[in-house]
Amino acid sequence: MTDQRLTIALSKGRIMLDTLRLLQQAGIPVPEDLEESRKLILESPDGRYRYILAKPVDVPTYVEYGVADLGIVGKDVLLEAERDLYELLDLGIGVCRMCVCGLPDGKGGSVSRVASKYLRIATEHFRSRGQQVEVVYLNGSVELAPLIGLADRIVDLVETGRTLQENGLVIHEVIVPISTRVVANRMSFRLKSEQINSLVEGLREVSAPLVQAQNDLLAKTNL
Amino acid sequence: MKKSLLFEKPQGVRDFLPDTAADKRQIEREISESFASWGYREIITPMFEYMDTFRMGIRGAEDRVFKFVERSGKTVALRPDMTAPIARVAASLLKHSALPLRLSYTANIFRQQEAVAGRDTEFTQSGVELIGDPSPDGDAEMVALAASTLQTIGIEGFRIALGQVGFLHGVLEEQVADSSVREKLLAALADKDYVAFEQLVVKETVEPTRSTLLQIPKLRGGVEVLAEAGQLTGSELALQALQNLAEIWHVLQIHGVTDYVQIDLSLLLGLNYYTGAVFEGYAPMMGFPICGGGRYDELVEKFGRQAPATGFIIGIERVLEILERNGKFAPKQRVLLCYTLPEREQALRFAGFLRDRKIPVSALLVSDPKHGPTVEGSVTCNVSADRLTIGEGQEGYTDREGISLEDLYQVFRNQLRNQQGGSEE
Repeated sequence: MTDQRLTIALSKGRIMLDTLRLLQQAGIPVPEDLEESRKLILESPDGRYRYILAKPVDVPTYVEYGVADLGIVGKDVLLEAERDLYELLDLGIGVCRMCVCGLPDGKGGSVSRVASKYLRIATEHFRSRGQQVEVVYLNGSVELAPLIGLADRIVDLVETGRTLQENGLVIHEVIVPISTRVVANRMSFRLKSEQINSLVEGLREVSAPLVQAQNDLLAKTNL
Repeated sequence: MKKSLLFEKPQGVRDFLPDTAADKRQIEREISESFASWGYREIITPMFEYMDTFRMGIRGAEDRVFKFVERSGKTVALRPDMTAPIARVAASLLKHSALPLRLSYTANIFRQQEAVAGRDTEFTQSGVELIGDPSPDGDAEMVALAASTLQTIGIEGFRIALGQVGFLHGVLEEQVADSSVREKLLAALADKDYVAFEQLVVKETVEPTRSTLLQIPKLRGGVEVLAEAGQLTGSELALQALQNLAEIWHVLQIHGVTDYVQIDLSLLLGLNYYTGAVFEGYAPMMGFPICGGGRYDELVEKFGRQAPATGFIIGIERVLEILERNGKFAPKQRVLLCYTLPEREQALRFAGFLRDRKIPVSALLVSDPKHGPTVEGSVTCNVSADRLTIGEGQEGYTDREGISLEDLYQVFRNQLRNQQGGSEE
């Protein structure tokens, strides 16, 4: 009665290659042509897994509705989406930080307008600081906003910091460290618990060193 | 803001067209009958009440509640659940009724949702409340009744996760001295965010507490989990919770439903509401839980009557979706009798004859009996003095005993003839 196949929603883009490598290391079969394929749904050669290739922001939705049992997606997307799911595992890949950035000003942080792709995260962050700010939604090249006077600050992901540097911006504050997570649908977590547990344990083993490295780094940067 | 177009509805509400409405009512009826067979009596309470009533037992964020202001200036709200109104009734109108009270309901519930989340704002819940029974038998009755009802309505392959909030509270109080850390840990588990839970444990605790707490998300499975969990803690509260679950499990064995039940000691359904055993049910091909509930011993007291209580709800739209997809509902055929003026009396009498036999029938006066209208879901037939003909290209209709419409018409005519014959004598 239950479809015993596991359907996994993968985030296209930044974290895809690392995700596939981890899956392979954990002995989870991945179709060979997955990277080149233009198909949106692929099956593993043994038929036990089905992969949905999705835009990262859509992954939590697929998983909440149960059209995918599991999803692999960045914490940034999860924080922004606030979907009702199980967050099972940190994979230690796609590591970066959600930051408040801007021009290196000396005004002492009176912020009135913030540009971001992450409306919820930005709003919540400034609220928790007791500041009411206007958040302007931008979908790309958010770094542009302070340069052209659209906003005092931006809230965005910082991976290496190079884009910031090249545009003369600095990190004013780190909001939260971000990495890639394995999430599960509530029904799947119960009805396919054995398959999910074994997959998660496999991934936990191969990702443990990455998570350790990430934690060490965070400890060093005092977060 | 754009003016709404005439066909538009507010977000998250829906219309049920006749076929689906009939299916929905059928399920509600079957569920209500199942509840009644366990001694639960239906109660109807107002769709809106004072906000203060709901505030007593609010489960989610208060900004999810639809509120408006009465002429008197008091804030009233559309019910965001049925538990608080029933607690109010149990503590006031039914104050002198002996406990335990067994009440059931089917009610539409209102909660504001995030604009793009695609969740229902108005939905229907059927549920029961067992007020005044603190025993594990009462908790087991909830799980067994949920399982039995889901079976009755035809849900297949469902599972019920069963937990006890006392276990988590006990273990955390024993292991973690700082109450703010305890709250963060509980919040992470309530969010089902095991990653945050683990990170907090690693950051805030040292061995052996660390290893103990890291076991918590793994405490899932059959009854053997209870013994495993017992090894982890000496907390009186936690051990009582485990003992409570063991007793509930024993009663569930007697009810014969343990095959459907999984223990999950990390299960928390929201914070600060439930006080004991909690459970949640899931079915294949439905991403959201289909039922859930638990013990809330402190709510009724807030309304002025000390009474431990437990209850659960079934999400009607969710089981409806599953059952419609699985083909539970046979297409409901109706009969459309077409008649011309000379046959009016004969036809309308025959319609009455069919209705007495529980056959849904409508009648239509037509000018040309050969060209009756085609109506979806209906068998069109023409009545003439001596026979009944089924519309061209349509399959016939048979009643529950397998008698065709044509034959029923002959039975009707014979009856009529006998009656007329009898009156003549």
